[in-house]
Amino acid sequence: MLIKYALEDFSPVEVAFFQAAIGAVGLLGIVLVEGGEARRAVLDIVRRPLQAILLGALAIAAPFILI
Amino acid sequence: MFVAFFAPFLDRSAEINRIQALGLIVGLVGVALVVGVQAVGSLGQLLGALAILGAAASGAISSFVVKLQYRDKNVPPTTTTLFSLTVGAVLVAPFAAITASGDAPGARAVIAVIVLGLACTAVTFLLYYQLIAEVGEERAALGNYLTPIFALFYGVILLGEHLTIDEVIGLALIIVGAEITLRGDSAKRGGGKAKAHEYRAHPPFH
Repeated sequence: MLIKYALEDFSPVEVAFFQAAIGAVGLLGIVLVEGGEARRAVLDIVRRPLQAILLGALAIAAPFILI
Repeated sequence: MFVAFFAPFLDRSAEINRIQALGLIVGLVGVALVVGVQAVGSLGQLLGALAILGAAASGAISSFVVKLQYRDKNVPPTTTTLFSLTVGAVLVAPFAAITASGDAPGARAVIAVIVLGLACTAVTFLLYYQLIAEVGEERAALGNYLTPIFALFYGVILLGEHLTIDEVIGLALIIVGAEITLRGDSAKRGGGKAKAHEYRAHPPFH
């Protein structure tokens, strides 16, 4: 139902982008508040960019665009 | 099904036994009935169905990446979700820019994408990656079978849609398939009756 409303003014790929981007902003806030292990893990992931790109492509970009 | 298909190549600990395979097939038939695969009659509908299969396969492989690259290295689900969404947004951005209409969106559409981003995407992926961390990718993926059930429920409650006999049969098959798969999982883990009782008392996806 929400996707139906969103598609009234956005293209399907725009909806996919905003879903991921807004979700990321929300989670960034959680990670910053959580601190500790969650924040330290950010550095660990940044040091391994290929795995992060693979995950983002497989979990978000491909399924969101295909669906 | 895709998690089971890829497990022998990517993570042998996630391989399923025959009971679990039976449960997954029963559940998959249920999903097909609910989704309406029997009504596919044009090339466009076939391509749409193939796109859904491609999305499911992609999601299944991503669950192995989560487990092997992040969960096994003790990365918290919040951080894993943050990066998958951030990278996903960056990868989708060029396509979104190309397809953007350029007109100012209405308030209803803006509110819809905000709720979709925060509740339906961030929270959903957070819970999913938490599930992968706690119960493994093959059992976490089983939660996806519940999606059509909720879609039907919301369709009936919020949009006034009518249930068909195919959908009712499909729902029953999904529930039976999930139960068979969980029993097969109990057998694989060697928990016997005590474990099976534990799952019934505390279903992992509720």
